[in-house]
Amino acid sequence: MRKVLIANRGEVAVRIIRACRELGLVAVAVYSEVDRDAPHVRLADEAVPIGPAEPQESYLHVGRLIGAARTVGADAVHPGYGFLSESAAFADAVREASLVFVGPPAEVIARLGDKIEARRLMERTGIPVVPGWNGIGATDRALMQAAAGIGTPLLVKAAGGGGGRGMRLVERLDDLPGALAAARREARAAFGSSDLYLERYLPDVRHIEIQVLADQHGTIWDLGERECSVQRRHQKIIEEAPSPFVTPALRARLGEAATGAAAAAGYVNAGSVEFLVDGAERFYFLEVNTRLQVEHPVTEMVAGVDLVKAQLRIAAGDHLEGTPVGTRGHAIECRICAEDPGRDFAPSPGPILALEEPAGPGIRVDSGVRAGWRVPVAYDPLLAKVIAWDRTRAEAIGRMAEALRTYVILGVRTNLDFLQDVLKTATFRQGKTTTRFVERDLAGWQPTIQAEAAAIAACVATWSDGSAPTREGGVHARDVPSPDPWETIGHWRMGTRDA
Amino acid sequence: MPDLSVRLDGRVVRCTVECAGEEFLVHAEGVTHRLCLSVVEPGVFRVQVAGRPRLIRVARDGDRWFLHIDGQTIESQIVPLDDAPVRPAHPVQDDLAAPMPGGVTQVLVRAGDAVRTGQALVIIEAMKMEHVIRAPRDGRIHLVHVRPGDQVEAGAAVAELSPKGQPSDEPG
Repeated sequence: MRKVLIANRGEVAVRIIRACRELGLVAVAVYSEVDRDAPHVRLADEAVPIGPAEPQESYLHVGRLIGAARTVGADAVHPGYGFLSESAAFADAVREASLVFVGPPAEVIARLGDKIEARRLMERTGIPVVPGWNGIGATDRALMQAAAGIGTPLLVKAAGGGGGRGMRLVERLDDLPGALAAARREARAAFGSSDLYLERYLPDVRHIEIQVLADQHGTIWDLGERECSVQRRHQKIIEEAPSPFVTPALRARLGEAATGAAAAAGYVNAGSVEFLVDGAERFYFLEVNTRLQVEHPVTEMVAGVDLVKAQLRIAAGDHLEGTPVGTRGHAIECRICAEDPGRDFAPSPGPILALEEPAGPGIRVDSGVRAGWRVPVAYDPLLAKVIAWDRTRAEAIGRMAEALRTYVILGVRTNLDFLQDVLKTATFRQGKTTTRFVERDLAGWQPTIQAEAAAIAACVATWSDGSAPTREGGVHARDVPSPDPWETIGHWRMGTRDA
Repeated sequence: MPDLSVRLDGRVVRCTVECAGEEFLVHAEGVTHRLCLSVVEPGVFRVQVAGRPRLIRVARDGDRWFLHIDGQTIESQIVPLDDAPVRPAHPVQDDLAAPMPGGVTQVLVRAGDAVRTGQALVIIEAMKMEHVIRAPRDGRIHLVHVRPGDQVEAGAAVAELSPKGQPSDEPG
């Protein structure tokens, strides 16, 4: 393996390019029209345009990605996360093109991507699954009979599922027929399959995932758990390792179940096995994410393993050598997104006018943006991730709070203020967050603006406009960064606000 | 003595700014703030308020100003009152403006339609998320400015709603 094409964008592409270069591999970026000046393009050894902004025409276009890999003579493809990372068809197309796919074999992705098949596999292996029913190709009638046995509340879920699509919570059996019809419609549109299964609804559980690494020679490592319960709109915003909730005994049982699941599936490369864990430390297999996770850095910080380099080495056929050394200290990750938490987390694309990243002992920033660049409207709002490591959880929270306080991103709205307030809540500080924490503790959140902020804003604006008396040689508009006209040229209609 | 209005997250504060020797005096909401301001480098100011010095970061995009003060990021809109004394910060009712830049995916009303509070009018998609622009009150759609497929900037008017009780709002 010599040259790797990274079929992704943003911070994860930057992360993978760095790992490639550290291993002496040539890193090739791909980019859509709006990403031509993105940081991942500038950092790569080579970069190939793959089409317009729309994901279907670029980062989701299998033919163009394979074509780009052929054009530059790449011998491997790293899919990152999101986009085509969990597409068995893409993994297969990469292999058909005689390229190495940095991930599990296509068959394993397909097996674990079908949630019904994955559940049945785990049941056969003796790993507990959420109580429910998973008949193959079940009719509505069969599902309704099974539901009577499970009782309510229950969840209707899609075999092709993910991201909450094709999922329905049913409180009363009378509502089941309607829920089945709606879930089938949604699942067919989203996944091309309308197969459904049932799970008992477990309230107040935690999402815990175990990171595994498996080489091509049968060695499987368990690298400990991540806690991912702080979510908004069913998407994680803060993750940490280890989980403040998991005891050593539970950790050992979860690790054993995760490596057992990976072995049963014939798993190769990096993956995460997700479990639901209840207050009595009972756990249930949920699913396997067959890719690198957004939150992989918290595991890297506490386990002392570079997961992306490990992925590349495993794909090249290397053995996992030695044994995992266990974890040390505590790591927390915050996802920095271009969104407005005061307006229901509405996305906020736009220009990055000023950028100053936090630094210091135990602080890591994985970023996909730079000052002077424009955050496109076509992709998800993740700008960067801040990871804080320290010896204890309390100290890691302190480091994170200071990192967020000194992080400057001007030009788009971000969740930096919101995240700082999350860290201040008693629930978070005590490690008692569940997946409903944000809606319970921070509903209707608005920033608390200090009284003198308006005065400062008025003063700065007056000063920079030159309409106030100037001093010390005077101040001009150049003292305040504005969008660079060259960076903002695109298909955007400018100046429509007052039109 | 410039008069201006500062819009902070929907709140509008009228300010009068005057220079007094080394200081600026900002009169806002019945309070006078004394500030000392100096430039450290482009985009970085030293501000002293109530005797406490701090460094702030500033950037500007048209009439949108972004300030980073003590770990907090604030967006403000500055409207000089002497230039445009009667113009509101937004040309249209806030809730009929696109809250974010994005692509229009659906237009659910036409000019002349009577609408009820909360009714979905236009759907905009950005960053893989849909945002529904809803009627802030009962009324009648006066004009629709966008079509499916249009790209809009944040704050752009997508439709205009005639207030209830205007002659055009007769039932039937």
